[in-house]
Amino acid sequence: MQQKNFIGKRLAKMDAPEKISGKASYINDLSVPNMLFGKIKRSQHAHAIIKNIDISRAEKLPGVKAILTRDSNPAPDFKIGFIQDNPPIKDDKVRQFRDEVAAVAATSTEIAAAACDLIKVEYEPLPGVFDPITAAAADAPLIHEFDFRGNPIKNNSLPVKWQISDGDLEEQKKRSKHIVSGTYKTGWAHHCCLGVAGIIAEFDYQKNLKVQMPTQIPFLVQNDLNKLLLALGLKNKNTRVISPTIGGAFGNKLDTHCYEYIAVLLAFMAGRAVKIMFDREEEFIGMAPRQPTIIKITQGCDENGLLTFREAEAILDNGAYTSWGATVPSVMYVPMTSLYRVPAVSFTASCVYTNNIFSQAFRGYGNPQATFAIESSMDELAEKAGIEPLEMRLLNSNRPNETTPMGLKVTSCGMSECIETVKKKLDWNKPRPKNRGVGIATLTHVGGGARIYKSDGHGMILKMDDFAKVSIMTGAVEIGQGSETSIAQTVAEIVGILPEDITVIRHDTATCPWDVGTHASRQMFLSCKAAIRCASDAKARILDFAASFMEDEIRRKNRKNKDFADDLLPLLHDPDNLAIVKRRIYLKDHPKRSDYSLPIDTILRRGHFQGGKNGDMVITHAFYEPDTNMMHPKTSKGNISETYVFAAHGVEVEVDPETGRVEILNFVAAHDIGRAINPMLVEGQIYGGVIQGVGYALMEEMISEKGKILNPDFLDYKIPTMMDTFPLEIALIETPDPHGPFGAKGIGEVGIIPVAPAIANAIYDAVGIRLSEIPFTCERVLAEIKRQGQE
Amino acid sequence: MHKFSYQRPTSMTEAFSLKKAAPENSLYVAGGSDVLLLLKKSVIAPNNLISLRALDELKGIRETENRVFIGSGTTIRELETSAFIAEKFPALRDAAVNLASTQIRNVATLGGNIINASPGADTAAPLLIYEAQVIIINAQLAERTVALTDFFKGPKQVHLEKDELVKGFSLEVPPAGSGSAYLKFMKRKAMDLANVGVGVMLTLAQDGTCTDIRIGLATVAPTPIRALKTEAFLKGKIIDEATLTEAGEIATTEIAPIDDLRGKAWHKTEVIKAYIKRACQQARLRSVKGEV
Amino acid sequence: MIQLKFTLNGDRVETWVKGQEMLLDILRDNFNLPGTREGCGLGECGACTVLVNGASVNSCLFPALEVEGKIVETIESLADAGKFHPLQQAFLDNGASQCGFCTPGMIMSAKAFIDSYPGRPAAVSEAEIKQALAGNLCRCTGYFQIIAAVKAAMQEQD
Repeated sequence: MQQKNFIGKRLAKMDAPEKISGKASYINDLSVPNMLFGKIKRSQHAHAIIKNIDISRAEKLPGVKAILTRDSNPAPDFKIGFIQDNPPIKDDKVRQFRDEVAAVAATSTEIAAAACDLIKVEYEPLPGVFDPITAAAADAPLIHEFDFRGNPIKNNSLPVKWQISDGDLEEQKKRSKHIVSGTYKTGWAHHCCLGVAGIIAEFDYQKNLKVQMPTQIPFLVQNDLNKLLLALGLKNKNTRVISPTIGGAFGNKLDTHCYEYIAVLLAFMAGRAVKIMFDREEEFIGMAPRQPTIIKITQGCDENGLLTFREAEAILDNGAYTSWGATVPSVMYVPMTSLYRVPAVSFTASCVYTNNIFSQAFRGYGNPQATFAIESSMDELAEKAGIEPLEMRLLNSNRPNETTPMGLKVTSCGMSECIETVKKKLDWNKPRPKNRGVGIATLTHVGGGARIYKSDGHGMILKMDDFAKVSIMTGAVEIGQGSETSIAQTVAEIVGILPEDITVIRHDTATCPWDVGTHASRQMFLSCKAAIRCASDAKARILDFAASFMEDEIRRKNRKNKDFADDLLPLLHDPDNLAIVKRRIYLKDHPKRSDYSLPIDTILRRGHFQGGKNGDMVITHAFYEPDTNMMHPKTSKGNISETYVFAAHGVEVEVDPETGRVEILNFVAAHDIGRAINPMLVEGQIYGGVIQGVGYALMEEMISEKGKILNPDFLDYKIPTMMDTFPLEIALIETPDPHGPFGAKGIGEVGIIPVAPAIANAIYDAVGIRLSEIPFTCERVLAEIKRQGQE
Repeated sequence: MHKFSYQRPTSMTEAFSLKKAAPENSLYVAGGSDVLLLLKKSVIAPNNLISLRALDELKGIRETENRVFIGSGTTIRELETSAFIAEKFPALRDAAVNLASTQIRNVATLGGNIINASPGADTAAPLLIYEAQVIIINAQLAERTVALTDFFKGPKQVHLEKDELVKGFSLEVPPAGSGSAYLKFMKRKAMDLANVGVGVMLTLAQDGTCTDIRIGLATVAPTPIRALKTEAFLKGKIIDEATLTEAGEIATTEIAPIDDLRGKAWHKTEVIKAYIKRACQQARLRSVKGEV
Repeated sequence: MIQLKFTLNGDRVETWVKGQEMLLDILRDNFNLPGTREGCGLGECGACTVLVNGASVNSCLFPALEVEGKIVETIESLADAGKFHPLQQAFLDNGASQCGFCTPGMIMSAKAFIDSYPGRPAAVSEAEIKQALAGNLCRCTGYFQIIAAVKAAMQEQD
């Protein structure tokens, strides 16, 4: 690899100074003049007809400026959600406990809350249904009676079928020597962003909308809210979306939510800015969690342990409305078809409405759930085939330059190296004391964008000023991962300036070009690809200026230099002879001739201030649209990403057979990352992902009783603390990818993916129990130990 | 948040008279880590809080003959960092170290932890095994003393009159050669309420026979309790693995755990069996080695 | 409203507060110090950690009136004339801040720990750091780079 100045370096994050000094502004810290405060009144029933809403007492409360109910809703037919099934303020029915029944804008939060308490809602309770199997039955109570077109709905199954298959399944079953089956369940896990959600919505005097809200998808928010403007009768009006510093996202801010539309509606009604700010409890119940799943999986292998087929079926508890949770099977396709080399695959998934809370995107988007099933089943299959589980994975490992059954075109692939690394670093085969064991699980995921939308592109503008300082306007969203820093490293590397010369402007739909959103581990990959183009063009422009003006400037510089030799002056007129390093232009083949070197700002000013009409500046732009395909509407196949990542996690645990407690002793996370643009940031993503994975595997669970969440706070929804960390070694396996920027691949999500199955497999190795439901709480582990003891 | 006034008396007399002025709507508050939390969760709604933080009478750790006085206003952090507590009452230190976070321990008090009367109060089991007496002071500044076992009335309830305050606790100094420990089972390793808590103090003769033992249990009954049957069983026996296993089984007959969000009753029962054993072993280790 | 006087980040200040106002509320609303953040309001996350007379507390559960006559330090007091405190510098250098919402509280907890650390700072163990900072939740970093940062700052100090 060519020596780089900034790529591969552990540079501090550009936004860190503001964050460590307490100066960063989150939504909590923002206000606009004369703004009102909004509060939402939520349903206290899981399923009920709204008979009547009485606001007479609430509207008399001094300070109340607007009350939004179905009766006052200025956009009564407007619905949101993946299949437009969710009215932001509920109409005829409530279908889940968190449902938004009314909202108030008032001069203080306290008054708004008091007004909400004064609103009297009369309900007629309906029977609820709280699991997808019961809900799918013919006689189950209907959650929705009509679809968004007004056509009657006959049952609770969503009219969206997820299906993918490849190869001759029956033939492969026949040639299988060993076959295993299992059913795996996962529950609701919450993002638990430390910064809770909120929004400020205001209309200007032309009725254009401005919203300030933390979001991963500013441009899709613009699109979504412009639809609301149309529903409000505001034609040709626009939404400007500005995101403040984001206090954590993880998929939680990948959709627009009812409360955001409610803030806009209240602002519209009141004619004043409205701020809605959640507290922690509302964050838990008002922001949808990870999609729960039940996955039945069957896998087979031949006498040598080579996989023959994989057949799986998933049932998703959709909850009462659709958000991105209903689409997670699309990402399950990736591991289901392409984790390991499998000649025949079949995967189907169905989503069923229930009166439970609905779900949305969360780091890994269905991949963690699918990988839990696949990798638990792999261990069972290995045992049945009499093959050591890690060796079984090596046998079936993905390889570079192969096309998977889904049509994913794997370019670089370091999966075998990852598995070998786990083997070595955990001293895999050493004898271990009683109740200790090791487990491994691997992953594959998109690493070069993910075309799930009409465009997977990224827009960027670069401008250079008279002082050679660069501003980058980017569609990228900084959610803590360091996208700004990787962009700056890229631009500095290519242009030949320093990262500190660069300001990254982002999070504003009015000033930044379009990007589909920060999700699917795509941001670094796509924004750095765009940055490479912008920066290369900028550098070419600078060198063009230099070719025109450098001789003149070099003469001027050396006019008092008696020793100056002018023999090299002709070389200056060809940009190919010039290079830029650390803000200076010089002759590539004569790097030590400082008399022939100039700071670039001299040249930039010369280009700008020529006098007359030729004055020009360096402004470049790029829209990088990856060379990928949407999934085929019928077959679901297609190369959705420019590259794919692989990893193996190995974990050593000790299980306490008397209490069921699982203690993690050692953890190795080996990741094929292509190449690290900034290893410190890469490690930060993996560290964070692994610990979230451990929370998911061992302790995190939203407890629902007939649709009501019983633990909406950090007191009873436990996420790992610093005390819950353990020795964790990250191994970065570099396999420079032909498509990646400098060979890099995206890894934002993947640290979380294989953690639960790796732990499940280690528990099996330690005490011989197979856990089929996440999380592996002390109760579940001990119950299983006891059940097995009785058998 | 619910509105309330906040008063900061500087003498006991003032504290009592402020309470007397509005007895129904006033609540005493020490560190506030429980009271303010309940207030913010709208579980309670007092109009007035009377802070006990400025009252010197409620502070301090003092030795008196064979007993030790710990003021109710002593913070958990003070217990955690006191070399004296670590040496004399290691089980109390065990409880303090694992109670919530440093931030909470810096404000939460021993008195608050006990008066809140959670069945799982961390300091309760250690105080029970050190035979704590509760020293109660009334508006006339007269004191009375009641054994901690008799002080608990039920979940979140104690025997304390409206015009009374807990001044502190008097603990018996464990005999030389004894060892004590408190083990807390949590779902995660910090910042968690006790799923089960077991405190043990024991004294062994030269031959290893248990001459004295006290066991305090948290979270497995409506109030923290002493496991008297288990104690009786162990007294006079050699403390070995088999005996402790049997002791664990006996303990399950004198507890009444319930299913709640934090754990199922059957699991708490299983943990009690294991933790009786482990707490006894830890206490024994400390008695033999004189460890802290 | 009651008048309140205390020392805030080195300055003697006064303000008027209500009984139910917490220290967090007045720092943010009365003194324009937003670096102290509310993550849960119930003392469970530590994002609002400040120092009162050198001890770390959750300012969301600390009645404002209790700081009368006391010394309060927030994240805004750490940098000295534009130069970062060694802890801040170590957070920067070790990538210990991602979304950054927990960061000020985390740094203040670490400061209380370091300031009162009884032994040689360089000899600090990871276990001690973990025990001291367990009351500060972070959802982004997995804590590893935070532990490394605190360790680095203590070695620097030694």
